Amino acid sequence: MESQALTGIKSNAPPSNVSDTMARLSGKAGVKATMMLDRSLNTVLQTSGSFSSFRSLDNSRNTASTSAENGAVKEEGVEEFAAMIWNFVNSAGGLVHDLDAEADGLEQDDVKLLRLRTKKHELVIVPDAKYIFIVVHDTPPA
Amino acid sequence: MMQQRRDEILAKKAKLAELKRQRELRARDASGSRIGSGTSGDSLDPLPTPSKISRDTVDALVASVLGSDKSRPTSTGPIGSPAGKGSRPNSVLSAGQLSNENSEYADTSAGQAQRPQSLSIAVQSLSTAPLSTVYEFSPSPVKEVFSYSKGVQTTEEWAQTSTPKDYSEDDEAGTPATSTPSKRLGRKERDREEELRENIRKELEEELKASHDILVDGPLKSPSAPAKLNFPARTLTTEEIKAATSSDEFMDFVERSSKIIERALDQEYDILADYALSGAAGVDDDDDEYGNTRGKGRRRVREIAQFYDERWSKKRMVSDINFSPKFPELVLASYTKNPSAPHDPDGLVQVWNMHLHDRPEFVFHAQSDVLTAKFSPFHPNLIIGGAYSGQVLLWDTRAKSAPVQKTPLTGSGHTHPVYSVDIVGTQNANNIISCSTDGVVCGWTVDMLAQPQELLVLTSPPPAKTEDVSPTCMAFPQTDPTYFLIGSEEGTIFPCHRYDRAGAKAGVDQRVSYRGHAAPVMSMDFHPARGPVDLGDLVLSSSLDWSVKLWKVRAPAATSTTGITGEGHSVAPILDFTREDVVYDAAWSPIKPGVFSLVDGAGNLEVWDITVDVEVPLAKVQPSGRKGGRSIMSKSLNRVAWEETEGKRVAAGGIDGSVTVFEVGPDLGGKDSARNEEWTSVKKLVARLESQAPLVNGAINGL
Repeated sequence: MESQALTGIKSNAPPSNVSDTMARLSGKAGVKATMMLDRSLNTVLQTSGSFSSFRSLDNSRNTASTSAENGAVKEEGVEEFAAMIWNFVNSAGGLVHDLDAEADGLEQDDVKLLRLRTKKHELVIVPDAKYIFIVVHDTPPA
Repeated sequence: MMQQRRDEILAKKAKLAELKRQRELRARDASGSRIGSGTSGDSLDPLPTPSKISRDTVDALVASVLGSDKSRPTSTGPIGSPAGKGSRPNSVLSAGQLSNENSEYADTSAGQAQRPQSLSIAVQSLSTAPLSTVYEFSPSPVKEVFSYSKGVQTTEEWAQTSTPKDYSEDDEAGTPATSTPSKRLGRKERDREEELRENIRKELEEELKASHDILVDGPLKSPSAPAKLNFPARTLTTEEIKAATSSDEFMDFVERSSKIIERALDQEYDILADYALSGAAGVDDDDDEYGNTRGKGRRRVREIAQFYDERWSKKRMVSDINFSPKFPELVLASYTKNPSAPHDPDGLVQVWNMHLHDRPEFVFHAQSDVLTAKFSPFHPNLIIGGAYSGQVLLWDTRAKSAPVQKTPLTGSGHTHPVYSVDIVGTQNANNIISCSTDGVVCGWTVDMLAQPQELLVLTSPPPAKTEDVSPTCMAFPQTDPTYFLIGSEEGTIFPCHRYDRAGAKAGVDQRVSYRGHAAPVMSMDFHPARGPVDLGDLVLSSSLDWSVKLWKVRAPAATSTTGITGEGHSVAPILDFTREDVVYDAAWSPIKPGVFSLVDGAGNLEVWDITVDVEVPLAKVQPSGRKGGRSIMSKSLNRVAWEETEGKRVAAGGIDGSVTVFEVGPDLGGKDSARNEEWTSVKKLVARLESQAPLVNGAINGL
């Protein structure tokens, strides 16, 4: 029992699973959407919330409420959004690598966090060697 | 995809053909006898023929299809079908193949003449059953798995995993629901997932390579393009997603990245704030609710955060709170067990981050209720704790939740609950000192908790009725690691020496005792004294007798000179703060010499400043009620702790399991506000108080 309980615990964090974490994140005030991308598989792993506001502006207003629906891969908007993020993260990574071109030999520099603030919302992106985690949230009212 | 599958099928067919040919040679001899049994018992017969149709019809049909070679189909029947039945894992599989062959058969029989070559192959593949013999030789050829993963052939395992959602939760969280059978299943599934991940990876690599080749061939594209261009490579099936998201690597990533994101989201200050815009926001002086007589203006006490985790804090009580000396934003809280969750670990320590509101930064477990815990002042990663079982525990923030070290449950250490631990000494030579309720005080080295380095059994000094003394708390002065006070259940505070010294043996110092409390002493705190005047001999004690008392303790060296009278010498408190409820904890401000805070059974946090007023607190607040929190009974606060570097924040926690952090106004805390006059005024106050009642008291008892 003990060992079983312990094996579920990774790196000192509560042994809450992915869906718990995602649910809590998407339940936070202001969070509109979350997304997980797999960099090696080039695919969307998990999403929650609504991405509709990123395609067409017409229905962005009335679908602002977030619906935490983990794992439910939605159609068009998700893919489109993911592709845009993908390009953004890759070009940012390219920039960092280019900037770091002189300091080669040692460990290469890499992107650790991207916060993209717009008038409407903020994207918080954590790129990793294998995955990308994106959260879209409303900025606090200025 | 289709191309791959076709390749596989072709390869299989080739293999089959080879096998067939060999078997054919053998079969030819005995063909005559087998015809009878073979066709009649051939349940694999691909055509939907009713059994009434005689084998002549079948033979005729076969003959018409195959032309001259009669022995072939009949021989395949008997060898193929029974063997196939036996070795196949289940019938769905063969049925699936059958239907495949079926259609092919039908196909060929429809257009006989056109494709005699493929026709013979098709008929041979009627005997896909022998394929299973191949299958036995090499258990998991990659190609086989490929065809299975397309859902054409389904094995039992797959049927199991196809209930998607629950499984990953059960399996990965290690919830008690996983019993033995499902555990084995879990391993199978894990293997399966591992395999699947591997497959997806390979597959994608191939695809990527393919697209890469195309692009390289193409004149316009740059070689680095492909990864970007074909981003949504394809939509994974639910199972593939499951496999990808249940890898350890992924879970680890989620843990790390979600913490970062939550910190980002919890960041209160908006760096884009434009102060030139409307000035309406930012005035938040309006939270004076339900009669909190909180201080106003510069003596204000404001709640800034409340920490509670639905999963872990629930139904537990806060048993101790401590701020990290190294990282002022971290505060730990230890908890007692959750009586309604017997499968969760009893003991719990959560490290909360001021910048991460909704979840603990770290969670540590113990097998028994953790009664006290604190950060090691000498190592930023270490946390020590004391448990109800009598164990002293050591956690490391770099390790997992389980303690990295713990003392054994044997007679060599504590056998009673440890309510008090401390680390004393210097950076290079320090010891963990623990104290249990049976009067045993142990010293341990941080590196080795297997056995106490020193063990001291405290006994009551002579006039007492019994020798036993039951310490409820222990406090070390800032300067002397060999001398400490213990507060006992009877209410007396005893000074103790760790070692024999001139005029006093190790253990309770028999010559002096601090009597004044009429109920168990719940906490003691030496003045931190980091200022121009040394106030390190002031001790604050709280007790269940509804009071907090201020003591001036005798230096251990001084006590040895005051007299070898044999009789105990009783010292009375120099100041008595009578409260309206039991007081569970009191703590000096680390910065302001006259400020201390206390928490009581009614759920109040009070902040006092003895340089200003010794009758009433300057501020008194209650933590905001948690949503769904329980009644008045759950309001009681157990512990209070100051943040040490700035002295601006004070945390309190109690029965309802939440930890509330308050920020005090500039007159009550904060580095730059401590003026020299305050130190001298505390000193004067103490001198004045000392010259009054206690002297008389001391004289009476001393002689």
